[in-house]
Amino acid sequence: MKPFKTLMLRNTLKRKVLSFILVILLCFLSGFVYTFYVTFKVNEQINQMFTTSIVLNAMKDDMDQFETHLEAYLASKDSDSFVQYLDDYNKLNDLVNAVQVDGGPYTSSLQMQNIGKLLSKYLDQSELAIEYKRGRNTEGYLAAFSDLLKTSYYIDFKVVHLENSDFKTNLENYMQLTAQFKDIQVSLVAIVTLLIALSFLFVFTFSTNVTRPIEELSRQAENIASGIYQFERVKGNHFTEAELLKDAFYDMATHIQDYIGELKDKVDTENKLRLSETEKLRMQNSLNQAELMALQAQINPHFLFNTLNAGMQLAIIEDAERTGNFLEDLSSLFRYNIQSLHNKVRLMDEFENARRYYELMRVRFGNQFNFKFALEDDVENIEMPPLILQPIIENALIHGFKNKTENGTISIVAYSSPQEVIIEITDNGEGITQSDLEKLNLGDFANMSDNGGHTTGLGLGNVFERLKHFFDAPNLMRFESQMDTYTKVTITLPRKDI
Amino acid sequence: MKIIIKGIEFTIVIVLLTLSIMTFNKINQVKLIETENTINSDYHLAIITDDVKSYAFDKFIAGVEASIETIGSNYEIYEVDTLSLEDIVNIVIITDVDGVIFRLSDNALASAYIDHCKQEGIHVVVVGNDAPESMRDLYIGTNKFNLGRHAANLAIRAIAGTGNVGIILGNEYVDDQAIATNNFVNGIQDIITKTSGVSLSTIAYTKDKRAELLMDTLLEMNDPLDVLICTDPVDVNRIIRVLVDRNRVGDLKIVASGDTTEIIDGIEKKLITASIVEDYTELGSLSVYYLSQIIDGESVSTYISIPFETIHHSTLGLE
Repeated sequence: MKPFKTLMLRNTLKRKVLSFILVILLCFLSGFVYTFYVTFKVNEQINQMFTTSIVLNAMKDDMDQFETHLEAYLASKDSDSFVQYLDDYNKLNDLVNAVQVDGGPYTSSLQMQNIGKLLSKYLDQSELAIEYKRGRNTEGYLAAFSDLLKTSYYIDFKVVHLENSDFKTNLENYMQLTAQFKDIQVSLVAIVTLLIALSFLFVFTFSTNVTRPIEELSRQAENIASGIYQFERVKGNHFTEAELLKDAFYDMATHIQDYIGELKDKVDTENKLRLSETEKLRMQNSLNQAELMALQAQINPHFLFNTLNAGMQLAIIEDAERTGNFLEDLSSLFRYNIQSLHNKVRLMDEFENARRYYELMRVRFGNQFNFKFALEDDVENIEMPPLILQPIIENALIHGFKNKTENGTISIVAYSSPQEVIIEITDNGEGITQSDLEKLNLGDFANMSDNGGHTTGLGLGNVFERLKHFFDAPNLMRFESQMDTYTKVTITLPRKDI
Repeated sequence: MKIIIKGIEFTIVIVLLTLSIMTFNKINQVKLIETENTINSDYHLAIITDDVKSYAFDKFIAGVEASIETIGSNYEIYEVDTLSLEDIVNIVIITDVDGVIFRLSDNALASAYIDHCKQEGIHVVVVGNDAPESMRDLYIGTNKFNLGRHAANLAIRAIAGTGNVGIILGNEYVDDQAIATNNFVNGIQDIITKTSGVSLSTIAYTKDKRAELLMDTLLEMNDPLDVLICTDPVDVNRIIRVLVDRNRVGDLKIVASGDTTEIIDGIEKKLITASIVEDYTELGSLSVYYLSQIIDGESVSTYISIPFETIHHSTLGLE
């Protein structure tokens, strides 16, 4: 019972197939029932037309036999004839009863009622004849038999009259039935044709409903197999099995999609890691290179510092104050320069180093160069990598005033903005060609036209890379220049203290 | 596509349903024509006649049918031809007929059978001509003597008081022994004998010979007829056709019977002088009506007269 209930309530393929077969069967059953009904009606009408004739023919045969047996009995008083007479009598009497019974098939037929009455009289006359015969009344039974034959003649007359009348009526009925059933036949042909068309449409709709979701899923499976993981759910409420198949398929497809996504993310992460490691390696390489160069320059820094200190003491003893200051500045500069590039320094340290450098250069070049320093108080303690300003200033001195005869001015300004610390190193030297300027701003320091002569051995490229890695931000240096007018290097440091 | 298929399916289903209902109705409406003798009521009547082919009979039966429908009875027609009157009466008695209408050319000859029916409890109405000696319940009919007199007057008027008069009697007039025939012919003779210059030269029966053949004979007579009195409209049509064919229209005046379309047309075209219309339909209708009243036990007069009227050119509004 339960499976049947489930089958009927759920939209399963089994139910669909069952419903489809039932609908088709119903279509053809209705057509069959209809045709049967028509045939039945035709048969009924034909029976109705000829039943009376059949009954009357049978009656006539019975009457013939009846008369023969009666006559035989009257002639010989033969008991066999009497038995047969009685058989025939009963048959005819049954017919009389059937004709005269209320509500019978002949109740409304006047002529059949007449025949029934005549037949009843006919049977009465036969009884009378038998009675006379038994009473040995020869004249009586002959008269009765004669009357019986006369009544038989009346019955014949009535039967002929009725059959003639029925023949005319039946002929009209036949013509009418033929005409009416011709129309009905056309309608039946139309009904059967429409039923076939409807069945065909049902078959088409059914097969489409069953195969469409499967076809759609197959197409999407092909797409997935060919690497197209995007899919759109097949819409529509299909039968349960198709819905299950659909759900399972989309679950599987979603899992594949998720798995492919995860794989992609993993590959992206690995790529990023690889890039990061490459960057680290490059930075390490830069530092190593810088440190190697510094080491090459150091030879023996302690020996150099001790020597410089000895020179400084000698200058004090000999009252050579300027020489002493010079040596002190030089010693401090070297000490600053040889520190590890991994160290962190404050901006004010960088400024102090730049000032010493300026003092040393002033000894060397006299008043040929003028340095201007401006450091705002609130940015003094900003942390940054060491040896950033000195290479830039050196660069300005080396390249900015190489062919310049006028006095040069280099200003080093540091100030704060709400989010950043801006350091500007501006010189009024020869300026930088447009092509070099573009290369500098693109970070292409390797291909610069001239790249040497630095005290620290550190070029702009090194400064650029260290700033980038220290602050983890690209393009912190910006170059501006106008030939024969100025060159400005702007370093924008993110404020780590904010 | 889906919507189109659904639409087609829906349309087919609707057409199928409509067609099925229509066909079903058609099948159910197939009804066989009922046989003539279907019982519709308790009255069982019989008409015994010796004339089933005349205009008068057709009209009479039309009246019977109309009345039968009104009172709801069944009737049978027995023709005294294949069966003898005795056999018919026997059948009528055995089949428990409630009432019989005797419509014979001479009902008086059937008086014994009328009495037999009465003895068996069957009510009897005689129509057309009376059977005064019998135990009949009612006589309904035209006064044939007066009818003959009227026909004679019309004939004499048609020939302006001078000429030979002929009579062609239709199927309802069987022979010269029948009372109806006698009364009708006697009525004509009554007038003619009283009118000088007019004589009744011919009396013929179309029961024995077709009207066309009769006319051929009459037209070749040495003493030709001037006016012909016809009692059957069918005979009138045949006679007119012969006159037209022989180009003798105008040579012979016609006094017809009946009001058929052909007769009216003949009067309009002046082929027929006048026509006496016996109301056979009324006769049939009243006979059934009064017979049913008699069966019901109501009191009915023993004689009902059916009037007759005359149609001629002036009564049709053509003069």
